[in-house]
Amino acid sequence: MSQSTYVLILFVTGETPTSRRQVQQLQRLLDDELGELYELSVVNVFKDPDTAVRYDVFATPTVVKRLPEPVRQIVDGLRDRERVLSGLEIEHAP
Amino acid sequence: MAYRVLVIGDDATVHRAFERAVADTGCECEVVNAASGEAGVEAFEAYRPALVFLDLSMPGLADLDLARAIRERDPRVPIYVMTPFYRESLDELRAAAERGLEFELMHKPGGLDHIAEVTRGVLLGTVETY
Repeated sequence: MSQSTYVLILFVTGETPTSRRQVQQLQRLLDDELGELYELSVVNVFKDPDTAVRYDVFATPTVVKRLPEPVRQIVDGLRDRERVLSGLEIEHAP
Repeated sequence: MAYRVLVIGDDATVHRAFERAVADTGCECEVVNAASGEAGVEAFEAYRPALVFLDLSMPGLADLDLARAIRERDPRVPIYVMTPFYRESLDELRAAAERGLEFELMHKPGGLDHIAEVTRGVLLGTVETY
């Protein structure tokens, strides 16, 4: 994995039309901004609440950027591109 | 644009916490409190809030029946169910979600900063910018 690869986790509530839309919104943004330089995993809090607690997630949907450090997270508002990019400190890939 | 935030729960301490936290968000928001399920449905119909927080374990309508009642009235309004993130607490909610009830989760107990962050995320992040 190169140093510029972003590692992110999206925490969602169940497997619903809303959570699927949230995944698609985030993937679209990351595709546009980072191309292939990211790894996104999705955690269903219903199935894995322990992981949510471990990452200090207190609501859904939450995106946690694990790498590169510093770790950052944002809650909801995934449709607002600038909010997501600034909140997670994501820089556009050249 | 002014928003209304509906907080449904029977704990006055929780209501006061939401009023303080929402005031700190910088959003132009009004908090509406309801202490029972029936009052919550009435308040929802009267105020049409942009965001609903539902504190579990209240008198009146069963918790998830209340969420369903709100969802029937508005299929899109964000509903945040406040619950501990423990498997035992989540099992019933998961079953409801698998039957098609859509809502989000907020960890309980939560701090003022958590309430403010969720409120900001929902109300300020609703504009499609891409």
